[in-house]
Amino acid sequence: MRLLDFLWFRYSLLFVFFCVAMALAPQPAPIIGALMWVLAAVAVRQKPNDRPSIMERSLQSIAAFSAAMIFYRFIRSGLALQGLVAEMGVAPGEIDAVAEVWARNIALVMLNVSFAIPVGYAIYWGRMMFWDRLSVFFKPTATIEEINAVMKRGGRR
Amino acid sequence: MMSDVGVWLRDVGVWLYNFYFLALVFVIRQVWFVVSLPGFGYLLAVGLREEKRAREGQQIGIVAPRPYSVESLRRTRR
Repeated sequence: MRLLDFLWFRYSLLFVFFCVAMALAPQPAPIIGALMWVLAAVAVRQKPNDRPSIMERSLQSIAAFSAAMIFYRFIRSGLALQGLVAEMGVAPGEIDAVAEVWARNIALVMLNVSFAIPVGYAIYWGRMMFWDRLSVFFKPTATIEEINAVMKRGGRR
Repeated sequence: MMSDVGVWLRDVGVWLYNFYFLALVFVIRQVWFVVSLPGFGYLLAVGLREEKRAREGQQIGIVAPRPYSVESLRRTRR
């Protein structure tokens, strides 16, 4: 049996990946990533019938956000645009400074674009929790009386 | 008497362990780690539980409704 077949290993791997990414990311990205974990746990707690899809979407979003943060850090420290700047006709004495500014701007744009991931997840979360309500039958805390009342009398006791 | 390679390997090991320890201390002190750890633990517990249920052939997701409570039985005089 392969190690990746174990659920605890996959989830722990994702959490370690998340921790590494958030340790590299600037604020407020880490606290937003932590809130994604909290939202996922609340949704899994409150919507037991949609657990597979909620788990899938939540863990995908967390992994994507972590990967975006690592990608941002890679761009911020490893982008060398001297060749491109020279190609664009900047004076030779200013190439290094201009390349640094362009690289910083590109990294900033990448960071801002990556915040679409938690925003999209929050929109999905709110819609799933408060709008896409299935019915009172699927309320996790419903009692037998409530279910019977809904089936027989439309909710009246 | 250790060879040069042995000394080098030992230094690398000590450095790796120190780095691991420092990284652990750094992460544990962060607010985002403290906030995200319970969520991760809960998701892991739920995932393991659902996996166990699926392996045993039980129904996943749909929660069995609660049984009648003593107060509701007394209230409705069933």
